[in-house]
Amino acid sequence: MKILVVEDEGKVASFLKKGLEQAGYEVDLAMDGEEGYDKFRAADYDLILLDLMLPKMTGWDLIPLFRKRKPTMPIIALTAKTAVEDRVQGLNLGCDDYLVKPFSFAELLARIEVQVRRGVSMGTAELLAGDLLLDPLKRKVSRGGKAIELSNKEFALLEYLMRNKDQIVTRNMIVENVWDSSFDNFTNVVDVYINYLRKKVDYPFDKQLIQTVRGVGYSLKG
Amino acid sequence: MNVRSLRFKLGWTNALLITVVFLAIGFIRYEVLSYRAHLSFDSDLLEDARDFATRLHFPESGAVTISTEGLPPSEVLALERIRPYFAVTDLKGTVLRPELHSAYIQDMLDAGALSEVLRSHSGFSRAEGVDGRQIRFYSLPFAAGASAEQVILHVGQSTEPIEAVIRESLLIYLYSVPLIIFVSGAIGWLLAGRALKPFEDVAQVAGLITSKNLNMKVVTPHKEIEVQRLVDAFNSMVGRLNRSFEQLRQFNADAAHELRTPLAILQGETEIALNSMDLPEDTRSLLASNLEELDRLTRVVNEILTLSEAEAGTRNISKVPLDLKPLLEDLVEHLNLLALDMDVRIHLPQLSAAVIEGDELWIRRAIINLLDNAIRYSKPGSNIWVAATVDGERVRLSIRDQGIGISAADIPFIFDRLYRADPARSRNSGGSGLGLSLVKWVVEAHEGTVHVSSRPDEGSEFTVEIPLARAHSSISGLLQG
Repeated sequence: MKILVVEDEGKVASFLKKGLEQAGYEVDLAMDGEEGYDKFRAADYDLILLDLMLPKMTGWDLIPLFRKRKPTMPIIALTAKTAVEDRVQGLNLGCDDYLVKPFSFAELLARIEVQVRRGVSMGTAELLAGDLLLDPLKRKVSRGGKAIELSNKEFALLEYLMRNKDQIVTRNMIVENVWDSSFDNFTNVVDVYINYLRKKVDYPFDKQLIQTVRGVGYSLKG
Repeated sequence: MNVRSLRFKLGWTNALLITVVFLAIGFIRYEVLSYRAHLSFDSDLLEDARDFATRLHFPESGAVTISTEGLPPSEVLALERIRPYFAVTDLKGTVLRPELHSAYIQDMLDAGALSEVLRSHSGFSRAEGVDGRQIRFYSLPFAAGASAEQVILHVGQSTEPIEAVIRESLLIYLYSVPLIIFVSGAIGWLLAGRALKPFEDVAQVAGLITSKNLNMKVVTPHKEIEVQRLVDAFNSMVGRLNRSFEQLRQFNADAAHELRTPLAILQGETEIALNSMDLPEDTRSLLASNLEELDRLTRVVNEILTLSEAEAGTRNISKVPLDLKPLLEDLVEHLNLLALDMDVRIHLPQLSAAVIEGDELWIRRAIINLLDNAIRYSKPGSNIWVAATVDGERVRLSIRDQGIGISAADIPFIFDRLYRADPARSRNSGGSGLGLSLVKWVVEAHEGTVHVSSRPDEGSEFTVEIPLARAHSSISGLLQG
């Protein structure tokens, strides 16, 4: 897996490179927009980590160029700008995900993982994890043939976990995708809902599917 | 009516001045009237006395007669008026022919009231009648009959009729004083009101300018130089204030922004260092603790940035009709989950729809901050009550807890940034110290108000009032952006 990091702040670029390499990725660095575009054209990357505020060419200039050549390559934008509507703006720009500095590195890793492994389970096909079955169309869940009743939120949460099966999803990611919100307070709500979900889909059974990844988030093992 | 108002003072001064002038004019008029009335009285008396003297037949003895032939009736009448008031003396003032006197004069002679008149040989004098009547006399020498002995004729006339006229005019004057005071006061009050109206208007419009809309200017339809000067001075002061505020906000935003990159580096590097396997345990726990602090620092910086951006207006509020009912139900449902963790319950009674003009994102954030705050300071096992009632053109949202409360000394400051009532207690509970500042900003950006009432150890109640969608102030039309 090869990642291009376009980031003008030297120290940020260097910890990103170090951390991503520790996590097993191959990393190229570009310190400005032009260099980023040159490197993008010269090699084949699986994902681009793009700072939006760059010298020479900004991230907003680059995204359309990247998209033109490789429409499906995931782009994660990084910015020192804030919060809510910027996030919406960023996603409208055509990047796949969006992180505001300062961010937790574990959060970044989880998001990269989701992006590079995505495309597996989008559509409306039934989702399966071990003996747990979720039908997004009929909105039905069963485990080992036994039907399980879930509330709307519980269902949405389980669906999100199952679509990202075997990957770590952070609380922030869950809040953004399941609650469509981005308030700190809701990350605690996630824990409560995970607990509800466990009571229904895990505790009555031998094998526990939902696992806590300490300090990061949750993962559903299938 | 405020006695300290300029309007009252002007009205009152006006009444006082006009009354003084009125009284002064009245006094002069009275004096002139009285002088001229007496003057004309005297000249009439003189003429009548002379006529009387020419017409008087004064024999040595026997009846005195007055010849009236050939006289017009009016002069006959004048002579008749004099007849009861005349006396004759010799040059020493000794009364002659007392049988000629009328009973009235006889009474005056008996009372000695005429002594001064009788001493006079010629000219005017006065005396008081036994009934208090004022009588003016004119004395003139008179040749009595054939003996041609010089006697003095004293002819009198009551001044009562002219005194009555003068008195009456004075009374009319005095009686009209209260009316003058009232009328001039009322006119002064009205005039002062009219003169001060532009200033009232300007003050009212100026009162709408707060730190949130310092880029506004006061405009007034009044074109008077004095008003324009005030408005110009005010606008230029607000302009200077605005520049200072802007610099301050920009500084906040810049400072917070500048902090983000170093924070990102610190956090990233620390996390990656923690991931490497070969760290001694104490270093690892130190780094982990640093990471926690960094997380808190990040949160504070984020909130400062949000708040300063919000205040600088770079963060837009886009208002659309927003029903608080589903929003509250949703938020209470979710935050109840957090509350349960602390063994606290949030109650929300049945609500009716309350549609405001609002930005859902910001309103949601403000309500979360209030609920979060209530949960954070609640005691285990206690309750939080949320209520939203429509009251006229506003909706009143109240959030009441049974928590630790806020001491009266702290209440004025709790909406200030980074203010903490009890540093030790609240820092552990994880607040950034900016939550309530943001609430206040959001509520005010929605033309609402937020209040708190609290008793230490019994709980606090936060009350937010926001205008409903249809009620919108029109006075803001006088402010120009």
